[in-house]
Amino acid sequence: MQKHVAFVVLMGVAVGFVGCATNGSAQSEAAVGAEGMDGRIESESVTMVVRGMSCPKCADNIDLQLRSVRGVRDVAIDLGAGEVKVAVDPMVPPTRSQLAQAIRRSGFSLVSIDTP
Amino acid sequence: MKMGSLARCLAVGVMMCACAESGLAQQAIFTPAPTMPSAERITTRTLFSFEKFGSDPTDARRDGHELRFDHEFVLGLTGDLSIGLNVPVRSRTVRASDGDDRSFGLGDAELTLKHRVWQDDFGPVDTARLSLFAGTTLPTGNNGFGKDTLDPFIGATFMLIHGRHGFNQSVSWTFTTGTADDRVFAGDGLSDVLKLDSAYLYRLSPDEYTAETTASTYAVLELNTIYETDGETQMFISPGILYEARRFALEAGVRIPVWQDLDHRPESRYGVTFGVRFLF
Repeated sequence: MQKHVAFVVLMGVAVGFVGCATNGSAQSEAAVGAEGMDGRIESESVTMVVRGMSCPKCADNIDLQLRSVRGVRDVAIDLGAGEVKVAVDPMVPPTRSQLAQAIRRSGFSLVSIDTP
Repeated sequence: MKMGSLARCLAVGVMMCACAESGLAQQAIFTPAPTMPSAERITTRTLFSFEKFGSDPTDARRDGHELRFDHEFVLGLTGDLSIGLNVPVRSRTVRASDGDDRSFGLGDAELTLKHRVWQDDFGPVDTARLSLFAGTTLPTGNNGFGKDTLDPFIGATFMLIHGRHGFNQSVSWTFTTGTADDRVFAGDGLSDVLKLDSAYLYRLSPDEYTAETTASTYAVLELNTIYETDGETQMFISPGILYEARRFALEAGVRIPVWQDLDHRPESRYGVTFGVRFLF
């Protein structure tokens, strides 16, 4: 009997996990600004303000996600300032949406995407 | 100990190390944290643990020690959902009133699903996060280290990081479904297990994060409590140190029992753990 109860509880929690999973895109969408999610980056670099990067490993999570975006050439992260500078290939510039999604997939909060 | 078993276990260990990926960020040594790898990334963690036990209140009067070699793999499914697998390799030496025994083999693996349900990143390095997790043990154990059952568990873990200070709190409940009752450690018997873990981390260096920061070092202090529903209770204080670089982390800690109320299994004398976490 106890085994069945435990199984039901576990399955309930597991279903709850999946059901509660949200994409959390609202905050990132707000952060990309008036130019919209689909706007291509029109400069050779952008500075993103990111919150919650509490350790060097956090920075590397963001670094790996951003470098997997087509058009990202280099990434430099200042943990103390919470700034992520991204060098962009002007031939194949990423969209703001792609950069925002990379931050979201890293598990951190994007505040803004700024171009010079 | 059979050489065949030893060779298989070592082969599994070597393969797991070869496949190693990233470690978990700012997670204490014995206290689960809500951290998880980013989407489609894998973290690995390998822990070497030694625990000495004795003062057995039962007629068996057992004392001895166990070496444990844990391999943990966690895959980020999304930015806030992960699945993990922990596979332990165990070696135990027991001296008892009815003779000595040495055993070596795989322990029961653990499969864990973790979902971050709440997050507030309130500063460049400041964050508060809450995750729920659930999972089950898998009957992979052999040579006396397995229970041949699926023991589900559920839990929650909270993290608060503010500046140089970090605080982790975790609670979990394991539903024991098996019938084996060879008790040396918590969870070996028939009772359900409640674990309460608290951890404080203080960043020793650097004083301030900058653009040049590539590593940090933390002092760790934990309070780990294990309660089994038949009354068996243990409380440990666990100081340690954590060094975290971008692609790897090193950890070391000791578990010192500060309070034990045990009637069915030996007391813990002390435990020592070393670990390494990798990022690829």
